[in-house]
Amino acid sequence: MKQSFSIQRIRDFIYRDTLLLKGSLITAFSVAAAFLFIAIWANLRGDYVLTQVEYATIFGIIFIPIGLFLTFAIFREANNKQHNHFYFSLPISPLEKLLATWFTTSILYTVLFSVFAMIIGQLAIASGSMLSKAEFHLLPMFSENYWSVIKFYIIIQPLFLLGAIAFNKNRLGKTIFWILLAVIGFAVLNGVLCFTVNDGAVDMFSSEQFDSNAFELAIKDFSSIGSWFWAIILGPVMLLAAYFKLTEKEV
Amino acid sequence: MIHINNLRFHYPNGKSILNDMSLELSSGSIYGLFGRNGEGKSTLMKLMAGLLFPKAGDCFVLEEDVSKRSANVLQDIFIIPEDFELSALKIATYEKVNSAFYPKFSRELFYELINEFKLLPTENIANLSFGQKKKVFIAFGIAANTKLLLMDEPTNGLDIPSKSQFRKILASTINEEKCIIISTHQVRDLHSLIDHVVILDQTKVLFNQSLAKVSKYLWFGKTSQDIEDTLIYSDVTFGGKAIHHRKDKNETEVDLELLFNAALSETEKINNALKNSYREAII
Repeated sequence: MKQSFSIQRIRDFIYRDTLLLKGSLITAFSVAAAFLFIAIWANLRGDYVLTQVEYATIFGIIFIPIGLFLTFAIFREANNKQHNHFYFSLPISPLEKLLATWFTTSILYTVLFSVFAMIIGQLAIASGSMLSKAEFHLLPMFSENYWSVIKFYIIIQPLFLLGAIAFNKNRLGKTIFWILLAVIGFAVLNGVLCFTVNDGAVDMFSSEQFDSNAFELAIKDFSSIGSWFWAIILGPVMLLAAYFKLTEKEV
Repeated sequence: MIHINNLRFHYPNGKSILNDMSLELSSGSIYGLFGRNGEGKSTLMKLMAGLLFPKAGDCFVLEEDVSKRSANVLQDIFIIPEDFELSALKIATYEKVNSAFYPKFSRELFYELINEFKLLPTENIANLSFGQKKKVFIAFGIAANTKLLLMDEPTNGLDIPSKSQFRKILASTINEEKCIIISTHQVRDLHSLIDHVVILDQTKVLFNQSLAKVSKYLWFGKTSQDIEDTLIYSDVTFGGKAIHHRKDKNETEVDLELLFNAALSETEKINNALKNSYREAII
């Protein structure tokens, strides 16, 4: 029987994507391995220990850019005039395609990269302990900082996923440009609102105690709402926009 | 199989390619889609495959609006465009990752065709010539066993032996459930395959007839004074070749090139000849 939504098709598409990305994945993970090794060794210097914060920082520096690079790489076929006829005529619905791509570039990538980084990190610590006075210890992986990096990536990744589908050329540059434009727009809006609410009495760039206190307070009061907004709304809204973009994209 | 109603299409900021076009194509036939350059043959094929969307009107394939790109309808459509590139994988890997999406895909047939085209499953597609890549794609498209197979200039890039292999393979593929549409300028390559001709010109369908009907009511040959009263079209560049009303003359092989030129320059005459002959035959 013909199915309009099929988990099997999603699985097949994930397998297909992974195989098509094999070259990019090998290159990206090789770069990541070299970076992790060097960065962990560098951080073992001095106190001979890799702290949770140090590891999460190193992890974030390489995990996020590679994830975004793969997000763009996975849509290479859809944006290439000589390849995209097959991509769009493949019997898998736009929803299944998007779910498969999102799963590959966010969940699957996060799990695989975390395991990979754990192995490389542990090897770096082990080799560091053999070559220096550093004591062998387990990689301080699952810290609060690590989860913050993962959370941040999962929240912002759909934004780049949308950019990877929406733009045909200079996709990364255009995506970053529009994100920066949106950030500036929000900042200006915040400034105008702050100025209006306080009847022009607050200068957010001022070093006056009252003004900066008011601004700090405003940030604090709205930060929890903002966090929830970004965490719950941004990702799904961007995925929804990406879905519509995928349905309306022609060759 | 395909119902196209009042379809309009133009590229962004471009002139109209298809305007208020209607067309019905049924299964069990191999259609030849002809037209001058830029008349919208490839565009029409892309619309039928859901790769482009109509600006107005609709295009239904197997009773479904193909622009929705539902997996159910796409499982029965395969398109081989004129210009394409395949993923840099081994032929066997290419088959493995893509065939899973086509429920009626025949692995046996695919490897049989790959073998017939003198290719090896272990060969990497990236190292193949364009003609060889085309063979891989044609083999995949035929093995996919879709009800609708669209091919845009399929013989371009194929060597001479492969062209006859292709004809043989395609002829064995067609059955009552399938519809094959071939767009080509190489009419001689595919002359023996096609059983229905559709000609596009100036955003419209100019001619849409089965070859059985054409050969039943039209006569192709050299013109002479004693049969001038039945003349419909003659072309000096074809060595005095002409198209006549067949009447009681022996059936001749359809000259597609001549028919194409006649349909472009004497559209009304050709269409009327077929319409009136058909009417007379019924009466």
